[in-house]
Amino acid sequence: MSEPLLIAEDVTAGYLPGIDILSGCNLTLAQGEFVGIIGPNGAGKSTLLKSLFGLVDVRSGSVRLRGHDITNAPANRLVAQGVGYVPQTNNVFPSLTIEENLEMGLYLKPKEFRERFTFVAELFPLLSDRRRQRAGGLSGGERQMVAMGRALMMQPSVLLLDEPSAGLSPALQDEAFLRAREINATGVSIVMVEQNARRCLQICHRGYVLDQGRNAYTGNGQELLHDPKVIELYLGTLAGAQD
Amino acid sequence: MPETPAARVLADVEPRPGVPKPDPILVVDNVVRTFGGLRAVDVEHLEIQRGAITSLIGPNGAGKTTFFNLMTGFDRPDQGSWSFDGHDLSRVPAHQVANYGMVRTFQLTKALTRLTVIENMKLGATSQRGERFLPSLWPGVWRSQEREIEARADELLARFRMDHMRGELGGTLSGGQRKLLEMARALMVDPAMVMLDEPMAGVNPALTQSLLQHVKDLPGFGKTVLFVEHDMDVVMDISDWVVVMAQGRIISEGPPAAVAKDQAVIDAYLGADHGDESRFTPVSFEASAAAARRHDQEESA
Repeated sequence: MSEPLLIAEDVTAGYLPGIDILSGCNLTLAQGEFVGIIGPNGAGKSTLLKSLFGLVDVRSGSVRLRGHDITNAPANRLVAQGVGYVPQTNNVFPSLTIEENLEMGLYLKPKEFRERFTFVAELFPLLSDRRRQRAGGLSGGERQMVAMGRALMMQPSVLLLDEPSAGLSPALQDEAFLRAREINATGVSIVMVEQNARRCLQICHRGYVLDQGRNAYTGNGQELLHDPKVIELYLGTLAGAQD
Repeated sequence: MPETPAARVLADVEPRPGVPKPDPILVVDNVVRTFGGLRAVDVEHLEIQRGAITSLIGPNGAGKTTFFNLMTGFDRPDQGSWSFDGHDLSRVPAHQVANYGMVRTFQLTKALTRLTVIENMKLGATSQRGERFLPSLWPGVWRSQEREIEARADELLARFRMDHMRGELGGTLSGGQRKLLEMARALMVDPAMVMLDEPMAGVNPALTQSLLQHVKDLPGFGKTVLFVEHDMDVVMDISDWVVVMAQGRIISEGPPAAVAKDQAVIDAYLGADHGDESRFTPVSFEASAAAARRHDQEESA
């Protein structure tokens, strides 16, 4: 295979001057691949995702999309190049209807609305059934569908998902994971950050485990899921020291 | 393993949620707090052992900080009661809780930036005579108390090795120093129990060790410690007892080693294994890659 679709190389990034959240993180995403990022609180998972979308200051290292440097590129340019991003919370425009929310996702190509809406509505029938309803009145799980649907309007080749399960009940979390899986099956490559490590590792092709701003472990999702070192990272050294 | 007196006493306590303790200082019953449809805190029964270091852990959104807020009067529960050292604190407002001997710190420090370190410390003392309008006009009324308070503040600053910063403004301190200041200030009222909300968060590794040592020393001064912490190595290192919350409930408690091996805890952190797992497998990579290539070709066509 040629160069992967998306590469983050040795990325150091942070929000406040002098304080790095990521110190030399690496990630690759092949075309069609589903990659999961897990790790304990404060490991830098969301920050790594944001560094792929120009939402955090990358201080050193680089991010490349199809071989082109996109380090610190503004988000609107990345959207035009086929990257979609779904934030963790506050990810819909509450005063707009579902349909208007989806239009916002396609503001760069408004003429294609009908065609793209049909595609997104196939994945999320609810969005067309309730297209005139204001997003502010939706439940958490429904909002998550609107946010994912909106990111899909531009027909992205890469979708960045920041904790799609956040704030959802276990049943709705499962629903969100299955949606992500379906989206991947349509050929969209996905990078997903998750707190539900089990589900994330179950449905992704490859997982990255972060710890304190660095890559701790990388590998096949199933293997990582059963790796005692991963449990140890979450629960401290004692958990790994099984008798 | 912490071989503290409290750990030895607790060694005989059965590790299960809600288990009674030999000498509880805080006893919580049926405390529920809901936000809309979400049960943020739903604690049936919990006892905190006197003189021990108990840590409260759990994944994000487990309800730990909300629980702290309820216990210290910063938030009101929908129902439930709790008693501290024999006093019912269920209706006591936040500013009076400290008078009963329970003080807390915050995850994000609340040091007053435009007061000096020593002024910040002196503010921590309660029931100061000069706080009332009329007595404030006669320095003779409060001067002796003020001197005592200042002496205590200086003593604590020395213990926390911050005496050299006594005259500096709170705003000039680093994040770690603010944490130290906040912990020292909490001790100004000579509390029976200190509740620390993520004392190590944002503290640089060099200071972590000394901060940890200060927490470990507290039982020696007769204090009970209840703290929320995310760093598991810290939790395993200093706790006599660990209480685990998930989705508002206490799902496990026990000595650190027992808790770390509890499957319920592992599930809470990594995601539970429930019911039908067969749907959760990756899609075929070959198929999704082929779909992606088709999509690219359409794009360029």
